[in-house]
Amino acid sequence: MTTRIRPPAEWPATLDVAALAARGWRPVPFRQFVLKLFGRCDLACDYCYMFAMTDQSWRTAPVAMPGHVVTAAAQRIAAHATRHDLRSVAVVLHGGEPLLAGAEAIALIATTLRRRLPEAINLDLRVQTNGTRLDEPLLATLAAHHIRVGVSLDGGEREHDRHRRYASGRGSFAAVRAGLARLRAGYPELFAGLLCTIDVRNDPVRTYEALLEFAPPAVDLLLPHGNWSQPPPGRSPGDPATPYGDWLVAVFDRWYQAPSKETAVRIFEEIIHLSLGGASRIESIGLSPTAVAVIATDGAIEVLDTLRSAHAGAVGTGLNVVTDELDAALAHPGVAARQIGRAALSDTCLACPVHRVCGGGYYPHRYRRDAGFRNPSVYCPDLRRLIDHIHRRVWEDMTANASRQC
Amino acid sequence: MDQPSPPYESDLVDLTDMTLREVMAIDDSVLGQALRRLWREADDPEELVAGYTEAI
Repeated sequence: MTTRIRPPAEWPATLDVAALAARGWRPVPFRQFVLKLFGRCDLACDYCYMFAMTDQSWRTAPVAMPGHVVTAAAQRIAAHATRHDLRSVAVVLHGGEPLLAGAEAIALIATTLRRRLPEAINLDLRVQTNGTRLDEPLLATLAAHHIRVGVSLDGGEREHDRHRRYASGRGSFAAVRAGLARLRAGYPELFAGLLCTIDVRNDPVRTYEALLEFAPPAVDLLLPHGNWSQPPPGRSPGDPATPYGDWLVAVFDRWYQAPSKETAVRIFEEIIHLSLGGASRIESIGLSPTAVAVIATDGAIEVLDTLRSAHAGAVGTGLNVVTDELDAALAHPGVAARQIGRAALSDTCLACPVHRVCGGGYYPHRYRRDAGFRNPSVYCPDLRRLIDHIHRRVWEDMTANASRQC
Repeated sequence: MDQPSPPYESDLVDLTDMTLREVMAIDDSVLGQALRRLWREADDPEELVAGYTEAI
């Protein structure tokens, strides 16, 4: 395995965080902490940013987060929250597949976190799982520790099993469907929602309606990871075609036109909110400062795990919860770059009339080899298509509402 | 570092004259819920930050 040494000129390596601070910029404290509980997975999804893309460092990383790292992470999170007087923090148990850590490990992590955090600070604890291991003992453990459950599901059986397969090639839909059935039947209050990665070969409305069959409180539709140097499927960089935009517009219309809201679709709701003048609460859209810290199985504090889709080494800060405070990560250029809003955007983005809504799209999707991350998203035409469509629909409805009230 | 921004002209209807009662009376559609969220966040503008995409 060859690790390409990244040229020093790739932005944001050249971002002078000290100069920003001297001009009055202040970082936003982390609010959300992603704990990589388990560094392996029982599925072999071919689009996985952790295992199937450029960065292959997982091969030498610890399989499971050891006890002393769990303790250190909990201590650092508590210290950070206290120092910054936070009212609440969110912790996401993640991976790999976090449920492979086992019920006992999950219980220990939850207990450790609650014990370390001051009582006045609310803890929102969740797990994001591939859904194949939601058996009764694990569900009982999750319930006992008030851990909400997000499940990755790409649609019905045909859509889901395109990519989300075991290493043997067998699809995982049947196992996920069974897990969701147990979750919904026994622990409906734990069900947080579904994450669906888009494949434009799947019919959009059929995919969305397949997700609705599980009555999720929320879903999100994720663009597959790629960038200008390693394009996502179906996207030629610079091509004005909008395959993903068209796909999302079809789902949006189906969702938006329902007489009453069937589920929350996060990306659509954030774009609507931004179009009405609000601020985004998700890092894939808008200009809100990202307040997320990722802690790897070995305790390393990462810029953002999905940067593995860009190039090897993109996630590293050189910091570790065993030896360093979380505040130290706030000064890292890769973290600051995702907190400075418009100042992180390319000239192309700044000249675009929807840049305050789009925000340049999801940060990893802006990467271009030898230039870095100060580019439009490789999905720029798709995002523009979707935002313009949503803006138009909302404007039409608002105008109609205002006319009725005259 | 900060560059001048082109004016972002919104074509949206000005909500200034809509009362809270009128907002709350809007149906349970997506738009209705979106407007209520806007009013809620205006009332309680805790620092708005962006969260992690790979979890829900």
